[in-house]
Amino acid sequence: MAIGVHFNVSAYAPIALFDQFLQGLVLWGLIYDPFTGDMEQVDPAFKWHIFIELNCAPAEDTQFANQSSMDNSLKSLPILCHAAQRQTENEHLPLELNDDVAIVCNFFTAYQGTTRYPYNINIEVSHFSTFKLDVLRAT
Amino acid sequence: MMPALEAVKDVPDTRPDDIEAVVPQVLSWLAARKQRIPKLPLHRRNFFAMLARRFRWLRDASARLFEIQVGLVAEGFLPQPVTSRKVNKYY
Repeated sequence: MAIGVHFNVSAYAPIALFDQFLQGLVLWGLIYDPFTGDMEQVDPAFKWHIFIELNCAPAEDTQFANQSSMDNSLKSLPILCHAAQRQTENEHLPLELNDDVAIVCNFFTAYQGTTRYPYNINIEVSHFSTFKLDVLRAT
Repeated sequence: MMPALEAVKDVPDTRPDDIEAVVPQVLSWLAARKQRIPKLPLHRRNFFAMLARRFRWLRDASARLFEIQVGLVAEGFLPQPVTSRKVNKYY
C-alpha cells in the first residue's frame, strides 16, 4: 500500500519548523509535535510519496519579495536538496488514469458524436502546442 | 426521443482503449474554453473527480428523465418519437 502526502508551503510559513518536521519524517520516520510532545512513528511497511510545493512571496510584497526566492527556500530545507527530486513548474506532471478520468473521456467522446459543433474541437491552442502529457497507468 | 438524452444515459463506465489519446483532447478542449486546468497531480485528480461527479449525476438524471419520457409516450401524453430526420427536418 502507498500513501501520498502533498505539502503546500506558503512563503510566510516557519521554514525552520518545517525543516525539523521533514527531517524527523524522512530520516527517522517520526512525526513530532514540539508543542504538545506527541510523537508518532510512521509505518515503514507503507510506501510514501511526498510532494512538496514551495512558494515565493509575490512581487507586490516589497518588504519580503527580495528575500523570498526559491534558492533561499531550498537552502532553508537542506533535507530536500539531498533527498528530493526537483520538479519545475513548467513540467506537466503525471496524471493517473482512474475511473473518473475514464468517465470524463467517455462523455467527451459521446459529446463529439452527438453534437454538430461548428468548430474543430481537436484544434490545439497556441500555448498548448508543446503540451506533452505523461501518463501513469493506474495499478 | 431526444438523441442527446439517449446518448447521455448510455455513457459507459468502462475505460476506453484509446484513453491516452482522448485525455489530451479533453484538456485541449477545456483549455480552448479558458478553463483553468490544475498542474499538480493531486489538484488535477480532484479536478477530474469533480467533473466525473457532475457527469455521473447528469447520467442518472438523464436515465430517470428517459424513463419518464417513455412512460408518458406509453400513456399517450406525448406523441410517438420521430425516428427519421426526413419526416421532420426541424427535429
